[in-house]
Amino acid sequence: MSDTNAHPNKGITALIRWKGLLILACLFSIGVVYGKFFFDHHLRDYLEKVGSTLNYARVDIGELRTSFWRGELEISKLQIAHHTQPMKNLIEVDRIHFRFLLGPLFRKKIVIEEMRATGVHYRTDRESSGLVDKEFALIPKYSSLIDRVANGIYTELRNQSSDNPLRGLGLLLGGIDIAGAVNSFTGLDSMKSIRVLKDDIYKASEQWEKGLKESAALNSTRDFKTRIDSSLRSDSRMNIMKTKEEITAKINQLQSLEKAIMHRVGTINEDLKKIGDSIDTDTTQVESSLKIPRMDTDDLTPQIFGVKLLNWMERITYWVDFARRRMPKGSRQNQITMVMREPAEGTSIHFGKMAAYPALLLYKADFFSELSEETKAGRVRGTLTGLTSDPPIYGRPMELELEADIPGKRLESGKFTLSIDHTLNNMSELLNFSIASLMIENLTIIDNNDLRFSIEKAVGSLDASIAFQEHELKAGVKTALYQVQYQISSRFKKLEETLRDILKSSQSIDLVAKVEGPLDKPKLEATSNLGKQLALGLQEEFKHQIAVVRDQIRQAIEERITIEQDPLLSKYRQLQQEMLDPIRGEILNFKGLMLLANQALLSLDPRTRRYLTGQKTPPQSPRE
Amino acid sequence: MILLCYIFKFFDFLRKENAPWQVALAIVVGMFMGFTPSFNLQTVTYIVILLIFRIHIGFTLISFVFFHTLSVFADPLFHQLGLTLLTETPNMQKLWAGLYHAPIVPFTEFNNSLVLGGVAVSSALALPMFFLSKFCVIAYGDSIAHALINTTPWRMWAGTTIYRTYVRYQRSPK
Repeated sequence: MSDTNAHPNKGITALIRWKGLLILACLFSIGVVYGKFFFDHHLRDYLEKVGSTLNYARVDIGELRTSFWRGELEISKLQIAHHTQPMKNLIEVDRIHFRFLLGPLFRKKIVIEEMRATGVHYRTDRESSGLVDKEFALIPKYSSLIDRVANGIYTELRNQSSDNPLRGLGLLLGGIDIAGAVNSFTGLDSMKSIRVLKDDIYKASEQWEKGLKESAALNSTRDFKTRIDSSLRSDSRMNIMKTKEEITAKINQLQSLEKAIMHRVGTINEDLKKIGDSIDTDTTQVESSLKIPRMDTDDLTPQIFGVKLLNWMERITYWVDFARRRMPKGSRQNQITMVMREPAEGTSIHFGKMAAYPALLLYKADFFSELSEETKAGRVRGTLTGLTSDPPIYGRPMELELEADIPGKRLESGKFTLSIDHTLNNMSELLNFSIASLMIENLTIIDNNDLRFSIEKAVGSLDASIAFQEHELKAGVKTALYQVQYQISSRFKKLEETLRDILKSSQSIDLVAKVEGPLDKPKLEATSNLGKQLALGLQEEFKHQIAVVRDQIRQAIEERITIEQDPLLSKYRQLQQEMLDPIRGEILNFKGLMLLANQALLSLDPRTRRYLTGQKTPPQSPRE
Repeated sequence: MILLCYIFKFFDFLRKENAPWQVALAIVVGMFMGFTPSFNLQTVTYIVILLIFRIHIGFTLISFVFFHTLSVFADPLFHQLGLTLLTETPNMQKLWAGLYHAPIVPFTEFNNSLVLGGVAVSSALALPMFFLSKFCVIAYGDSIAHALINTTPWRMWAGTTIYRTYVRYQRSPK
């Protein structure tokens, strides 16, 4: 290739493409226009998408305005939808104002000096649904609130708590076809044992018949007798001794067969015993499958309130997990603090330096809201300090304190404190909240076709403390509900009346719950006067009925076992008789033959002969 | 026709600056761009260099595509190299910390292992690649051009109306 475009100018100007500068100027102008007219809209859309992904319900921003020169960002009409009640907002904020420093922006650091949120509303109504639908593209790299169930931390506790006896009472009262249920149940241990028994009996009969054929004992005793007689007549001690050896071998063979039969008999007897032992287990299995309520606990609190508690714990754990991923702990090498993050590509290292900012820092945020004529606005005061993406670099924990009164929701003296400390090697989060008075409405305990049982209205107070320390969890909740009004309706009058009777004296509920232990295996303990009263009352009322049902199930299982088992047992007994008795008989016969052979040997002994013919030497029994 | 003129001017813009050193520099810049995994200040810098300085844009784009494809396979190496440079070189920790808190520099995302690894490899290969490319352009440029002209796809392309119109445009006085 040759230089066909030799430039007439020399020096540095020959290297510069002047048209390129024009293009750059155009691009720069486009950038300025974009920043002026489009950036705010795109930033708003992006924040809505990120928020909606994390919340798994719509996050809507009415208006967003930025001003980089003044270092300000303002968000108006922020609505965070409730992820299970799509027509309600969890929180609505009228205005959030940020003031950030311009200098750190040139260092790719976002430092928000001050944030002020005013006009906080709780549980407002939405004009459109807050559901996130398929057309709303979530940002895949952010895991969502809905993923909380995927980590399965509370699955085992949830399974334990979901066994609510109130669910099965309707079934109990409505009548159950127990015989049909037992006959169609496929997983009974006793049926499995019967199948094993059948196999064992089948193998036994094969084995025993084979053994008998091999021994062929029936005709051989006569042969041996004949041989002994002929050996005696022919004075052949050698023949008799040989015959004795064969008789011994036959006896051993028959005894081995008898031993094998007895061993097999032992196994079959064990199988029979197992069938008997498994009736209890089968009864329990059938009860569980029919959802017969188990009234063997003296406190139903984990079943009544456990699932709701765990729902809350899952939500909190999700956000703790989110905080740990977004505010990771760091390491220190050569007096330099480093925080590693895993973006979409590669690994990014954030480095700490004396008096330098982390990548994102919110110094202080104030929450301020006053009561208004609208009932859902609350009086909120709060402060958040030290929210950062790199806690080890910033060096201080994040602290949040909030106080709220929302008279429209009968929420009084609510206090909320949160501390997130990821500055050290052990990550810890501590959450405390207390509400002096809170109106509770429509708290569902059971809702199925047979029974609708809920707390329609109550006034309560709440005290909770939840601490996460690396992989350990310690949570405690105390709540007291007063002026409790229940809503009970069932298609079974008896059930409804029973519950009303039990709850007549339960105008207040005191609940204490604890979830403690390692995060992968926490334990739930919960107790309340309502749980105890319900357990006691239901046991008294339904104990007899449950016992009757249990007996009926047991009986049905025993009948089913008997139908399957009896033919097998009679076949087994028959086999025993056919096999064992002949073998034992033959063993006796051969032992008799052995005696005969011994006598024959004795009679052939010379000393014996001399004794018998009158000589003085006493006979000595032959040694063989 | 006016539209075609603008398209042809754009083609000219892409294929000007075909001195050996300009082509070699284009390949090196394309290599730097190809080994940078994400859009950051470095990419903007390369684009600015490409626009301001007389470098063959067409070859830059071809080189970018080639090295970007290569980087898909080389990413694990870049990541490991970058991570080692960032976390396991005690003598450079203070430098990295200083650069991380300096103005403008953090926008280059040098603190990302893939980016730093790519830049390190590109820097190491820059000079050898420049001289090698220049040598290839001088020694084989004409023969490669002749060989390309004699291929079937080129002949097919040369027979099209658009190409013939372009040749007429080139020959016309401007």
